[in-house]
Amino acid sequence: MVSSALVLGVTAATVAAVTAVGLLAARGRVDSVEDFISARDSAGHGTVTATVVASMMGAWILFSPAEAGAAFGGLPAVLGYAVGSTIPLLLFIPVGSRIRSVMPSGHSLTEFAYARFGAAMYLFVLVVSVFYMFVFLAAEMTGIAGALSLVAGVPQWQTALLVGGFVLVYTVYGGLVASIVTDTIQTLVVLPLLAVGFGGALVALGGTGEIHAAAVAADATLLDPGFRPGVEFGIYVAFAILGANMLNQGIWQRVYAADGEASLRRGFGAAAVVVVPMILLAGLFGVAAAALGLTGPDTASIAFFLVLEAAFPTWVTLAVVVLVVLLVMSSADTMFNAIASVVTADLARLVDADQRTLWLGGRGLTVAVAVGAILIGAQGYSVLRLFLTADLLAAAVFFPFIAGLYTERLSGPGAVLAGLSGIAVGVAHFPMLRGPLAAVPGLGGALPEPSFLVAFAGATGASVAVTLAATALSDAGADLDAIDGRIRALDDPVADGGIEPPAPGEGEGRDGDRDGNGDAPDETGGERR
Amino acid sequence: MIAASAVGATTFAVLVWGSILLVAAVFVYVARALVLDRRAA
Repeated sequence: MVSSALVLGVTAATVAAVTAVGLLAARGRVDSVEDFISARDSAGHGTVTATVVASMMGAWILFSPAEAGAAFGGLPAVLGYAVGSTIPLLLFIPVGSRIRSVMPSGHSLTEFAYARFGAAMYLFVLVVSVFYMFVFLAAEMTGIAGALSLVAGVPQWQTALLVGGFVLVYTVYGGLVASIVTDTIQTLVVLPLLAVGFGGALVALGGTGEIHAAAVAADATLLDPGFRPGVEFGIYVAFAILGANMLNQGIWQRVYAADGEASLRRGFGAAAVVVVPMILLAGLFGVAAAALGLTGPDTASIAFFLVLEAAFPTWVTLAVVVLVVLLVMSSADTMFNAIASVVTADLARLVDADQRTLWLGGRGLTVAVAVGAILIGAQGYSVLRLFLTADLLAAAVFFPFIAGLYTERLSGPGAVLAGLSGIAVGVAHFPMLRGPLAAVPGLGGALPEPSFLVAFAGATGASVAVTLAATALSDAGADLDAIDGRIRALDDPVADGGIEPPAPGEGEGRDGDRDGNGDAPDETGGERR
Repeated sequence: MIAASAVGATTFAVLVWGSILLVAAVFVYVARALVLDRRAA
């Protein structure tokens, strides 16, 4: 085992270098709350590609796809994971364009939920989105703490504190600007490290021919693209990833950060392309580990690190430590700022706050989120159950939410009903909630056969069906052209809840809460008249 | 019992090395795009 002092030293050097880049990049560029949570129209297509890849690809890519390959169905499971990860990015090309068109002054997905659907759907989206993002963050901190503990015996609290603390420093100072700049550097280091690391690992393990032969001899289903459990896993994980990412505020922020339609299209398109081989390689490493007998079902999620510890020299281990630290930092800074931005944008609307209060609120929230993530990361909990639960909720909610960008007929109550219907179907089939549900008197016998595939596909399917029905059966008459008028600019000098004159043809000012009492616009999402 | 039908060794090698090459190609693309972004700025 590599010495913990050496690994801690490499980790500290890595986080310090990234932090210095983040601080320098943000110096003099963050003058308002708007700058802190929105880097509007600032990123060319290269930057968009880099920041989207860095934000989405956390340390989880070294755990989950390998586990899928080793224990959940081999090649088809990995292919499903890879394709499922790329779908939301491709979908964000038209959806992102629509977001920028409908709400060009926006900051967060919850702003849209409130302006379009009213308070009930806003609360629904807020809870699901923040829950998902915080679980993602906690899983990243848990992952890095567990990985360094495994390869070098570093106490988990030391890793969580070191990584979380440094990310906090540059995120609190530089907000989204620092996050995007550091993402760019991280991607430029992570991509070659992955390519060289995986290539070297393959050669060290005997090459693809040897791994293939071992897999066929050990368990040919590992490489069978039609292996049913693997195909089922691939399908439900695609639903899970799709819903979760459509409600990922970090990605919404990057939609706004693109400096135009072309950068959005090319940036998200290139990110979608690179995500596939990254997941595929990580997953095939799990297949290889299982084929070579290096892992069992209980250790599948750490297949990569077990192989690393057993078969590779110290310098390779240290390179992987740098890789993991960068992967975690790039996702953690995104989530710190994303969660803070959701709440800060809402604070601006809900309370009569001036710039200074919002500024302190944004930074204070970043600290609170970071402290929570560090504390959870230091415990070494298994967050898989929470992760899948958050994914299930997102799978049920995302469709009516996104549909609101395109149709003026869908009402707030219709969207909420669609989300609740999806959750009801999903939860009824969800294996991980079977215990508590079965204990409810009268419910146990009525529950259907548990199945992840039916839970995730059913959650999305029911939600889609009710959304379509609600859209067909009623017309909310929401005015999509009026939504942007309800968004408050956060560098607006009118920061005391004052009233701006309505724009020509609009019935209300930018705030949408003209009387300052925090009321929502009407539940149907239509203009108040 | 249905017999498993594993992909061939060549397909497996193409998947693996193709993925590595694709990651490398996207790295070159991103690096070049970043240079162009900087020049445009």
